[in-house]
Amino acid sequence: MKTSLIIAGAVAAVAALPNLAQAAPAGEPSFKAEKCYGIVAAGKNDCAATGSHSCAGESKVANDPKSWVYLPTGTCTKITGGSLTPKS
Amino acid sequence: MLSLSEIQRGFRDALLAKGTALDRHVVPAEGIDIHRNTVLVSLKTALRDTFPVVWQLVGEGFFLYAAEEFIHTHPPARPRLADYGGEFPAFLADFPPGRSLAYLPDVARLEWLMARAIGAEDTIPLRPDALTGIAAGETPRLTFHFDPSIAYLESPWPVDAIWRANQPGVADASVSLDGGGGFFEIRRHEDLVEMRALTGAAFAFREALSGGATLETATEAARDAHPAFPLAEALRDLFRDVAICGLALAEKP
Amino acid sequence: MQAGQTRAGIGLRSPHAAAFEAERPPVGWVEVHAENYMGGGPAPRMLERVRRDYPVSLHGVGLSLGSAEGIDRDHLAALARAVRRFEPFLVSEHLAWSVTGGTYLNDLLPLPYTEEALAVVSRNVAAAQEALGRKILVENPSAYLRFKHSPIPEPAFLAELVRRTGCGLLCDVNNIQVSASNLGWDAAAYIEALPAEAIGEIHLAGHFRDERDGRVLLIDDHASPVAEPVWDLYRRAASRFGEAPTLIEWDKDIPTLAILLGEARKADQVTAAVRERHALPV
Repeated sequence: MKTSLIIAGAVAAVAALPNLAQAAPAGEPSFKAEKCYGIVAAGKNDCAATGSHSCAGESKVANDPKSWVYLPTGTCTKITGGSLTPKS
Repeated sequence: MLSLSEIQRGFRDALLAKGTALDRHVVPAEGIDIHRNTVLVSLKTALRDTFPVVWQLVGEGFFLYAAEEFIHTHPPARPRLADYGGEFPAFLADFPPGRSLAYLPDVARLEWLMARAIGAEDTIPLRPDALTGIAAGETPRLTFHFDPSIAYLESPWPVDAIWRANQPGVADASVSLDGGGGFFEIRRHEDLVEMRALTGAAFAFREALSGGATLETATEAARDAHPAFPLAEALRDLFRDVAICGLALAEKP
Repeated sequence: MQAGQTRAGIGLRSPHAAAFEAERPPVGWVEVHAENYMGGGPAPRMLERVRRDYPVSLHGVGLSLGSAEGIDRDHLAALARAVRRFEPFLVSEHLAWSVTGGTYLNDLLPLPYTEEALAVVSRNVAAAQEALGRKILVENPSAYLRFKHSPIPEPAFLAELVRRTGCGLLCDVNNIQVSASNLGWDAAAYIEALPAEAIGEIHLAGHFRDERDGRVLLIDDHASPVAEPVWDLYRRAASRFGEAPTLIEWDKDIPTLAILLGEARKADQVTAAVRERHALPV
């Protein structure tokens, strides 16, 4: 069947469906992340201030460049296998 | 005597490049340091808040080093901090000290799309009957406006698993890169940010449509990935997922 | 008005948003930073709900009223949309700049007080008021330096801005204390020099006192209670500026709502004492 006919058929079929909006997206999401703005409980404020503006100055001084670490020292040690070559 | 424009350019150079042209026009010149510190600390904080998993993965010292380099070469262009950081993933990809972490730029892309999703404009989703009355011959030229929170990310890395393993309270989860990557849809739904893994064909279809492709072009893209692509189901799912907020017809070729 | 409700308002920051939704604390009004509520999603919806029970003030931090290149039309349009959406009882911005050559420097940067700057700020304030369809309040900044060529005193600059544009003023008492201490001004004389009838709002906040090598530097970091000298200055401001609504700002190391309410009540006590004194027969 020609693509244009398949498309017309699909559009007609969906147009005739009862109202589907308001339904939840299909399938379980890989994750649901609650982000910020007081929706996240206090203390779990990993993102509580995303892009937050303030009109105050900073009294805490930015790190001295000499104290910087030029090698990753975080949880990247939890990531194993594969190393530099991506699997597709 | 400097004009106001010259003063403001001099200030920018002093804050971002430690230029000294302004020093002899202000008292005390050290006052400029207070402003430089405020700009750097607040922008680093904004980047940390937008990219908390990248921060977790590389640690504070490395993150602040990368952030400072980024701020100097990519200062904000817009007065909303929520708009700041879109170029950070590409910056990380080209950042020599980060080369050993090949998955890092995609993790940053994921976090950026999540941050965009949370603040995207609210829209009213269309119901399937919005498709009623479109002449059959015109349907291949249909284009769809997606909910502006929706974005697509294809990665060779398991960025979803990496994200989950680096959330607060997740103690010692480890992630193997050997599992490979996936095709992801990121969006806001009822105040939550969600990411879902899609099939390659569904991803090709939705990504093409969300970028403004016609229904015909998107269908062909999906068929390239999966020749038996079920179009009617895929179209239905778009409406069920409250993903569509507008329709249009592309110009005839 | 609930029993025990404060007259003074507090800055509503994200850590307290949930408490505002759940408990409706007895605060007279709230102020938010406009830039945090310009998009879609849960944050502006939260503010819409809070708006039903509290007068809201929108305090902009990114309009850059002092930019020589003019103000960003897109940002002004976004502010105008926020004003239409939240119908604030006050809209304010700063006597400062952040944008040059299309780069946004995320700070409230100082201006030289010259005729040129006065013309630039007046033009920008007039453009903002026209786009918003209302009067805005312009806040005095915290200063860490002065320009060698800056012939107009800051209060006179503000007074002339009011005269030229019809804007109001937001008197930040903490900023006066910070600038006066850092630059050797007389804080009390500054308050006397402001045009009292233009003051539409008063800000109070904490500052950081950095003492080294026998020199004192005050930094306006909004991370602590209002300092004693600022309360003293506030007594003077409150008696001169009468009923202007007062706000407690606290932006870093944000404390419990109870502590913020305590600061608001302290401000209320000052204004109550001022009113009582003014009510006495002469």
